[in-house]
Amino acid sequence: MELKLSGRFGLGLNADTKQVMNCIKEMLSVEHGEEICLNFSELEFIYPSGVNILSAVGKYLMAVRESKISHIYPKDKEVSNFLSECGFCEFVGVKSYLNGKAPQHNGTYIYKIRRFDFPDDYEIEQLINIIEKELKLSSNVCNHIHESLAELILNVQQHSGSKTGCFVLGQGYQKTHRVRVCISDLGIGIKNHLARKFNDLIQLDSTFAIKRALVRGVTGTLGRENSGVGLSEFREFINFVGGEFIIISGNGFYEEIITYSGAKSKVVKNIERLDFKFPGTFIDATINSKPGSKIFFKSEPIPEDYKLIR
Amino acid sequence: MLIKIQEIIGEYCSQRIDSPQKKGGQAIREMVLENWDKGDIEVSFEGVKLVTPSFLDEAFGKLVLEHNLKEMINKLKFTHIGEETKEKINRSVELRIKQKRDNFNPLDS
Repeated sequence: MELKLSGRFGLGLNADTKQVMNCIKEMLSVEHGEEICLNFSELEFIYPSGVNILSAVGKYLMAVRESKISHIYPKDKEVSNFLSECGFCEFVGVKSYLNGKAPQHNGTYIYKIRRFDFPDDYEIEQLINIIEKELKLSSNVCNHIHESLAELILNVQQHSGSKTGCFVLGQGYQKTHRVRVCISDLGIGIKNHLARKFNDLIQLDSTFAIKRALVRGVTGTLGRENSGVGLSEFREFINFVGGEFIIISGNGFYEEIITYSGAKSKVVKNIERLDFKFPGTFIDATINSKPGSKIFFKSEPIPEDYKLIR
Repeated sequence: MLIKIQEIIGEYCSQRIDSPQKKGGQAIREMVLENWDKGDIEVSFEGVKLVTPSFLDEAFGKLVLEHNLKEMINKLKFTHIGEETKEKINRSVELRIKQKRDNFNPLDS
């Protein structure tokens, strides 16, 4: 099977989301043992989300269907630089395009795609270094980004049942003050996790499960082991600073774009049922990271009689 | 008693449950409970760089299931703690109190 990628491959604003969905659908229809050739020759631009989702699905097919991934070189130098520098080539086992040459940063900083098997201080510190030192963000914004990401990675490890850990890829855009992070896993998906507790979800498509997972306090863990703050906390955080996030899980696609004009925020949502099932969960987040930004919790104030620390 | 989180967990406090590689919020909660009857407990966040809501919920939010809030306020003293961490602990405690008291269903709110 040859898949020709073109234009701006990735998810979200300015990217060709439909092309990514079609590409993933095609990849998942591959026969056992069949080779998948990713033709990058006409590609003009590739986003971290495009790389992460290709890597995750590629790894899944290599493991489950014994697929072999090959590729046709991109003509565009920036695309080839990015594919090499973000670790895609070594990740799917193809030769780097850089050939030992130093990569061009172009004002962005890349956290190479890598696999997290458990919360690892060294890996978290690497991610923090990219976000904090390279982008020179205020500690207020940094702390929130770190904590939100650590929480998300922890969630994947705890709930997804993924045998291959989770894949994380990030990019910091110094000029436009944005941080983009993609996290994917090949686990049971949000619907199957929540359906342990919410039986009504079994009959519904995954968009309902994603929406429910974004409510603070909702968890699929039985008993009172967990509190259900992971995704809701992350959503609240992006709502505070502005940005965008996309969640793909099973046959659900959920996108939320939060823009600020002064203190007023505008939220645009795009929720779709896909005609294929993503084998796990994928999260793509673009976080506004303007230096000096102050983040305030805008949630309902906590009543005094519920406060442990006053 | 003084519990220095950084000495027990490290600078990055991310995990809820203890794992073979690293201790989580569970270790702090167990330590607090073990020392509950031995006087006041000071919890210091000095040197901690990162702390997740799950860690805080496991360490402190879940204490609500064992002791009431008044007892916790009298027993625990938090030092070197940032405003955001305070807010996160309070949110976790709020959620746990609601869960315990009302059989709280987040979908109803």
